[in-house]
Amino acid sequence: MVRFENLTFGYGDGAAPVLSNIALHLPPGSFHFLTGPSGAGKTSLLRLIAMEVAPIQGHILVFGQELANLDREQRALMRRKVGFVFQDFRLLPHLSILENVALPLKLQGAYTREQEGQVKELLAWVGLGYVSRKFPLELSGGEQQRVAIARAVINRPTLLLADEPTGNVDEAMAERLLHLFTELHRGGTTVLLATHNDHLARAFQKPILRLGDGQLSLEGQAI
Amino acid sequence: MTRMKAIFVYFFALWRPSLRLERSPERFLMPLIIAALSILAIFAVLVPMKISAGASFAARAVEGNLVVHVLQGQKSLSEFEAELALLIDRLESFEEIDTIDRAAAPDMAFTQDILLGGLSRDDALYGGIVRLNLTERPGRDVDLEALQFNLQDFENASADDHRTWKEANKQRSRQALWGGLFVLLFILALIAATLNLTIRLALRMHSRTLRVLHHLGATDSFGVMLFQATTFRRAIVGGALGGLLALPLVLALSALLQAQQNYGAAMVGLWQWIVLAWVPLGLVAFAVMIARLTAFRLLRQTY
Repeated sequence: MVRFENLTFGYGDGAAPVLSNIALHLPPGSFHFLTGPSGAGKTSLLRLIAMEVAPIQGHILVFGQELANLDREQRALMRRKVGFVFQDFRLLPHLSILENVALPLKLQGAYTREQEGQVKELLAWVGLGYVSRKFPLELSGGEQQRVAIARAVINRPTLLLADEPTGNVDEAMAERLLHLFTELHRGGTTVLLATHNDHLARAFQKPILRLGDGQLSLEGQAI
Repeated sequence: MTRMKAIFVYFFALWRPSLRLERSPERFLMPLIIAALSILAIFAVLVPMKISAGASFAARAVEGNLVVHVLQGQKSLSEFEAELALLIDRLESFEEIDTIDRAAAPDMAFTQDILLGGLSRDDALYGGIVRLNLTERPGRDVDLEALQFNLQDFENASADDHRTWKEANKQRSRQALWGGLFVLLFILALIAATLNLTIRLALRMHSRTLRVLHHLGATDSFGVMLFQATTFRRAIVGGALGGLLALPLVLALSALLQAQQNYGAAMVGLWQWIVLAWVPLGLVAFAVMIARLTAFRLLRQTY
């Protein structure tokens, strides 16, 4: 599903690489937590898979395709199969919550009433059924985060990348959201979830990838 | 049927895309610019069209006609009348000439005819001027050079087949056409520049939205559609506004020209209305095309 080969990544010339000579393989249908201290490169690793940034050297293969060889159209189509929960949510402030969550569906073509029903159902499931007509800036940080998660999973992505998806919610909601991810994983979605909350990662008994000093290591089972 | 549906969906999406952008402050500017340029473009098309129609009408009116101007100059009236009688006799000897009408007062074309006909202005200042309108027999053409040769004895007479002023009119029509074309090109360049600037500003303003859409899997075509749709809506409002504002001006101009007898043909006809209606529509289509190309080019340079 996702494969890194001898991957090195850094910001700016001459700066020490954030990720150095990394190898990674996430098989289809797997669920991994990605942990590490702040600044270890968790977000960078996710951004590399999401094609937001390019590596200095090495190869990234997603769905068996080398990302460097894809043109803009192919990249866009590939992104539709990837759900991404951004750390900063990236909700569109001029669209209602309902419209924000429906975005991935709208990008894929005609948006039906049936799909609108699905969006409302999902919003209700994450406890936001009452805010569907509101706008992002009217919500709290935790509510915005749940909207971002709903948007990432609405089209049942093949691969889900989540960057600190439980960072702004309380313990109970964090658990509820992680159960949502587990649910998606049961349905066949490959999940990579970055968190600095070791306790939470361990509680779910899934393989944990640990980033530190530019290196990636595995706790629990082979990558 | 599927194709028709696709076309319908495309045009519907042009008007109302599945995603709206934030309201931007330049939203009133573009319709006003397009409206102003539509008015200008309508007149850039109308004026050459009218000049050309007027010239054709005038040319058609004198088809098969020749004119001979005779100046009295320093001669007494009786001498002048005697000379005129001789001249008419001479003209009647031409088989190609059907009728000869004597017109007393020169019409609007007088000055032009006199000057272009080779007669001097000084002579025209003295005494009377007689204009003889000659009609050719059907199917027969008067040889102007032969006629002029035959009238050599009459030093104050000048024959003309209207060719000179018709040629001058043709030249004016061509100049008006090129002038109109130049103005239209200038308008198109102005629209392209305005849109380029507007879309650059819009891209900067909506960069956050575009970035999010990009990460969610929006293709460049989707991004382009947003700007194209916005441009389409604003341009069509501007085009309609320009067309409506130009309408009373065109009607007033048409009525004014119609009041001038010699330019009776210069009234705006049905096909001309159709051409004029297409002018703002053409500008709208051009604006959408430029918006599309600009947005495509700029989007490819981002992210």
